[in-house]
Formats: sequence, structure tokens, C-alpha cells
Amino acid sequence: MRLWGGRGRRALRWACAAGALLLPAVLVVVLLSDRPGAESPEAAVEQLLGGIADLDGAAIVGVVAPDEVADAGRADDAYTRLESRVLREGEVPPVEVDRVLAAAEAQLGGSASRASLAVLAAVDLELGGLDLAVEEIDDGAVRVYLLDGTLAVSVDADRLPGDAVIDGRGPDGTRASYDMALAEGWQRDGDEFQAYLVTVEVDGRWFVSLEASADDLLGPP
Amino acid sequence: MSTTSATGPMPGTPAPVDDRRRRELLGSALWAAAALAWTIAMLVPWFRAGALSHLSPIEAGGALRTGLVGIPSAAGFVVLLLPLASWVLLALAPARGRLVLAWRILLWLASTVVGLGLVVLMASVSADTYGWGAGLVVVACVLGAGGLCCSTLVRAEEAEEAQEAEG
Repeated sequence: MRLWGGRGRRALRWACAAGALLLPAVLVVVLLSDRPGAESPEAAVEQLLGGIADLDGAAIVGVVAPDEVADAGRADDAYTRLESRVLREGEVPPVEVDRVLAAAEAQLGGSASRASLAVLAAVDLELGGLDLAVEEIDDGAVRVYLLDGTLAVSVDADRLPGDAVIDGRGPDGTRASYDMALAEGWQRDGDEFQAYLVTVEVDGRWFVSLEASADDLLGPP
Repeated sequence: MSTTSATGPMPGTPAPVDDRRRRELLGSALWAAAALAWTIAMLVPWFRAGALSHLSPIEAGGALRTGLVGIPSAAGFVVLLLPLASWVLLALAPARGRLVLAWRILLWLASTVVGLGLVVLMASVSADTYGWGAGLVVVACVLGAGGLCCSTLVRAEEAEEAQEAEG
């Protein structure tokens, strides 16, 4: 028998099997280590806005009320209600930004998903200057008002595919960019209001409740 | 038990036990490194710049699994299939036989085609994209190719030996 065997080979088998079990265990630990919710109502809203700016779905989902996450239909209904009656009159992006985004779509041959990826790779979003205030509604439910905050949007045309030279520079030669003043321009049924979200306490942690926000802002459905 | 002559093995004779052990150990180490690279690639962002540069595949999968983003929640498990192939390959690393080799080739090909396909897709949408995750996937595919070479050599020696024993 020329094949090597014995103790060394058994050890190799065990080591490989242990490695094959240990690596998925690491992923499971990482997945479970993020404790959902936040320590305070302000931290919950901050995490939600930060998650939106970073397009970090896990951060967003981790801070939405657990019963709304478990029943996606409830969150979806609340979001649809909010979207239909609450809107923000935002800034008009500078023409350079539009030019770069249009170029991304044109260069990728009409593939919506690839164009979206290209735009996301070319755009940088940065959240800053958040100023939040809290108002207690009742025990375990708190309104968090957005008093100030900026989402800085900048677009780098050089990150787009293809050889086409796109004029994506602003008037002073810098990257095309603009700031969104997040606390301004909010309207509910056409009337201006100070934007806020309702947070709820669940098992000592704070979550943003889209349902409670929609009920508080618009009245029960 | 085989013996090794001072001048090394004669051409056409089976490789000595020490060479085979070295090859199997090297192959297992390469599969382990590839599995590690695949696993880490799930935990770090694949994009270096832009709005997606904070997001790792495992986080993206977690968001999809909630079903909140309007995509079937099963899509969130798809990202786990990629490292799954590498963990199976690691578990199979010390196993011998024709069937095991066939599975090894199949799994390595599937994970390499999907992994490199994703990296090429990223390159096609942005000229400045590759983050750590994408780099690690390429490294994992190369390490897996090395592991596959070692496994194939060992299998060839086994087959040669079996033929010799029959003859």
C-alpha cells in the first residue's frame, strides 16, 4: 500500500472538517452579533438615516420595529401611506449631475440594473450635521424631530465605464455635487411641517416604527 | 511501505509517499485558504468607492431576506451559496477517488464562474470599482485552481498505481 495514511492523515481529515464547520460558524456569529435596535430614540433615527446614506440595508432593517420587519406587508403599507401624502420639495440637482447620470444610462445600453449599479458606484453620499430633538408621546413612544442635517451628494464621472469623456465637472472644475437640506421642504397634504419619525421601545431597545409614524402624522388608516 | 532511492523515483514509477503527502497537504492548505478568502469576501464590501462601498454581501443578503425591499426573500440566501461551495470543497480536500474529483471540479467551476462573473459585471459598470471583496474572490478562485491541480495530480498517481497493481 503506497498511499500515506495513519494518524497524520486522520489529523488532516479532522482539520479540514473543522475548518469547513468553523468558517460558516464565523458567518453565523457575525450575522447574530448585531443586536437590533438602538440605545436611544435619537440613535435609532440616526442609524436609519445613516443606513439610507450608506445604502446599508442591514442597518436600516436592524432599526425598524421588529414586528414590522417580521411582517413586511405592514411596513410596506405604512411606507405607501407616507409616500402618498408626505413629500419633500427638494433641491434641483445641478446640470452636471444630470449629465453624468444620463451618461451612465446611455453607456450601459438600456440595462436598468447595470445602469443603477453604475450610478451607485459613481455617486458618493455623505450624511452630516444631524440635529435631532425628542418629544415623548407616551410611555415607550417618542417623536424624533429632524431639526437639521445635510446629505451631500457628489458624482464622479471618471468612475463610469466606457471611453467617452463626460463633462461631469462643476463650474469651478470640481466634481459635480449638491447638498440636500434634509430638515427642509417637507409637506403633509400640501402643508409644510417639521419632519419627524416615531420611535418605539421594545425590550429596552429603540426602533423606528413606520406604522406609528404614519398613524401619528396622518391619523389611523 | 514504499522506499525512495537516493537518486529519486524512476520515470514511470509511482511517486513516493512523501511527495504524495506533500501534495495532499499543499492541496488541503490551498483549499483552506480559498475557503477562508471566500468567507472573508462575504464580510467586506466589493465596491471600493461610491454609495455601495459600505455594504458587504452578507449585509445585502440580510436586507434581502427580510423581504422589505420588494425582492423575494429567497434571494438573500443566494449569496450564501458562493462560500458554501468553498466549505464543501474544504471538507472534501483530504478525500480520494474519482467521484470526489468530479465533484471537486464541478464545485470549483461553478463557484469560479459565478464569482468571476460577478467581478466582471462590476468592472463593466464602473471603471473604479474593485473593493476588497472582489479582490478576495479572484484570489480564492486562483487558490482553488492550485488546490484542484494538487488533487488532480494525486488522483492521477492513484489511478496509475491501481493500474500497476492490476497489471
